[in-house]
Amino acid sequence: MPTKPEHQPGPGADREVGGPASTAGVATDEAAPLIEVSDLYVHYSMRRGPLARLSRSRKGGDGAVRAVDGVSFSLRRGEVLGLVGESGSGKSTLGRALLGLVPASSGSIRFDGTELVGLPERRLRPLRRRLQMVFQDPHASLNPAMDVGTAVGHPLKIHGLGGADLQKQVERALEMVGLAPARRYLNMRPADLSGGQKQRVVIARAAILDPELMVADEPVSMLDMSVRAKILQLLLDLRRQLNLTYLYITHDLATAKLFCDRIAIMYLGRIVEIGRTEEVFANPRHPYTQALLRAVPDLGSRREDESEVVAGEIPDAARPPAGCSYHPRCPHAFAPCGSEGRDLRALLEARWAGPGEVTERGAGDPAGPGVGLEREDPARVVRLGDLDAAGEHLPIRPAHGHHAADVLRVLTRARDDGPDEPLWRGVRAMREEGGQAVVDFEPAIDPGLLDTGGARVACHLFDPRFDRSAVQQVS
Amino acid sequence: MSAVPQQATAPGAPRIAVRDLRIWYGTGGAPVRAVDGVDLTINAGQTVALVGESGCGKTTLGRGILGMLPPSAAVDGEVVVDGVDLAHLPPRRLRAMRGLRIGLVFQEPMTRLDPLMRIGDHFDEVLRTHRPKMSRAERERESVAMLRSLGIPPSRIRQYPHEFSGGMRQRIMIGLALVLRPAVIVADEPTTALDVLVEAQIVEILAELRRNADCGLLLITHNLGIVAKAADRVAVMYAGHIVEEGEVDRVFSEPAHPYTRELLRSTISLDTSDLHYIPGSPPDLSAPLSGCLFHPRCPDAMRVCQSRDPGQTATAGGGRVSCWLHRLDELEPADREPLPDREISVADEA
Repeated sequence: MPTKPEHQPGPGADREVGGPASTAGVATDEAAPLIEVSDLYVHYSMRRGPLARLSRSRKGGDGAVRAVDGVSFSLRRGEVLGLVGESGSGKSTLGRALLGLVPASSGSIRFDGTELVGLPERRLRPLRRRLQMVFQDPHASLNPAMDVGTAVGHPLKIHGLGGADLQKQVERALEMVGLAPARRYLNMRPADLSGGQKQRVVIARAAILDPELMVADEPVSMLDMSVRAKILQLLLDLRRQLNLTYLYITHDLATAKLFCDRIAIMYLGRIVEIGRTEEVFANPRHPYTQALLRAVPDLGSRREDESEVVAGEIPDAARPPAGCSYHPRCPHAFAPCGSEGRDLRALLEARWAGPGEVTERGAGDPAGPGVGLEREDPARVVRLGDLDAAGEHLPIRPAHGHHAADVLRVLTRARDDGPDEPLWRGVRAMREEGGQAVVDFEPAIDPGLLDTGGARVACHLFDPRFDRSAVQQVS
Repeated sequence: MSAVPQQATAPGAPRIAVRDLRIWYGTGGAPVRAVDGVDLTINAGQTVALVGESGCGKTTLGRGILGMLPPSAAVDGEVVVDGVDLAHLPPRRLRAMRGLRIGLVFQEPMTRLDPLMRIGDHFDEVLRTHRPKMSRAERERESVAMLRSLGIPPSRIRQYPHEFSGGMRQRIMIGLALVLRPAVIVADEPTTALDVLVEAQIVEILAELRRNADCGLLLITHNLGIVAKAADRVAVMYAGHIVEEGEVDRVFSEPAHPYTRELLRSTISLDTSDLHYIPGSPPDLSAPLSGCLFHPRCPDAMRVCQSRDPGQTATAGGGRVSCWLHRLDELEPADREPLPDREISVADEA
């Protein structure tokens, strides 16, 4: 809910700086990683202010938005890695953290042998010549008062590289991105340019420093369909000309498939699947990857599998679901993936929505006057707020005028009506205790990345420790 | 415009007919011909998609249908909804028609919901304004039924917009457009701000609407994949004109206009292996133009395309296309000569 959280300094912030600086200057092997990220965390604190208190007391989280929550990967020189996910998956935060634009809470980012986490701005700045970024919105990336020539030459000046041939370098950069003849564009201002032309200027401004790593954060998603192909082609051409390494951040699987050597799928701050592009597309393993691929609209004939549409939306990163973050939306979830009170609430509410007969409640009704579904209105029997509590042991109080047995009756009926709901695979018992109903859940286990040969996947379905058939039985 | 009970409309009957609509913006100099002679009919239970590059007049056409144009716009032609021409209605009567007869779904749902009003009050206000004879209980019943049909639990009717996710807000917007059972709904890029899984949910709701409601839907989008999934017919707009119109399956499998073909080829899908794009950009609509407006970018352009408007030719399945390639037998051999290769700079793009 809070949109501008403060950064929370983590253990990495005061770590000893430097690392083996001796590797700098040593000729690097082509296959050696240019950038190596291990166990990176970026958490935003919401500890201060009334909003934070509100969200903590209502949701029970520890008050930190886990934007990036333990991510490791490496990027070889000349490689293009696609970081794919929905908004809120942490992909942009991860991209920014690589350039030191948001500070890491803990973990390590090694760029060509130099540790970037904890590096002071003074030491980071010279490295930024080698690390450049192209942002999503070209309209917001350019100073409207600065002409094209000045904007593209600006980075050279900042890095003290603007010699006598500054003008020549600017012209060369503009022609490299297709803005030819360059003299025609030098004195134009952003308002004189189309969206595609602006993005070319942004790319020229990044490329003029001859960087090694380019982080491209949704570089074509704000552009018109017919322009996207042109800008993608330009990025591909630059990769060849400048021997660039790319981190391509996108929500668009189709462009990622065209552009990337490897794909990392992110969900709620974690990489859930990573592998070579052809492998991930030909043989998607994680149920989330499968859902994303199914959801890409294609131009062919209409598909009839419309029941396959995945319900729900990406959860709040301040209070991630227990176990696997994807379990509330996953049709294959089973006991170790995690079931919890919030899933139960979602289930009861979903049963209540959907078409059916609507009835009115009078003032004397236990649930208060209003409109509801006579048949299934769970708010009349169950204190729904109790279902928001975390933990394997969930006490639920009955609503006024009802008893624990009534709560159990509502729950049992919900289960009998849909015994195949993944949620029930994680319910161990439902019982009565001290005038309350209590639901016991199976322990939720956080999935780590598993090597499955060809790709690494964070999903219990691929973990030989768990036998799906054995745990599917609801007690 | 009071609470007249809706008579069910026979499926296939036209709910909206746009005839020779022209919308020009005066900008001091030559007018910008944003929409320049458009004909479009949407029948009950039908979804028509409007596609084309930015700057081709899609959004202006949508706003023209809604009567939501800025004062600088000059409008000519007809927008007939249930027998009433909206294009020439006084503002007060137009306001009454909008919402009641034409529903609206915008791109960014958050900016269109009042952050200080509960969701239920949004519905209540719409119903109170347009159906003054409805009782409070009836209004609440309508609101709850609408929310439930869109998958929103009635328990959330007292919550505020910020308590809903982006996809839920877009459902609420669709519900607000539908609750008055309008003749036609205009949805301008309804899924652009949403994630791909949520987009699929909304596309399914839109596709569902086509089966149940007796209203027509105009779906303005640049996403041809959504058109394939949710629309019956597609109108391809270029430089203020509809250059091709027809059944989605026919247009996508056998595009009749070179612009449609190029637009389809430049769409990046999971099956794309080579990048393709249309050189150049749509023309400046305030400049004097002649012939087919696509000819400077058209790979199939002939000599005749520079000077003469191709008019409209019928295509299979009740569609139409504006292209000389479909009227070759009317042309002299000299007219059919291909235009010499034209130099279009890569950077001259939209």
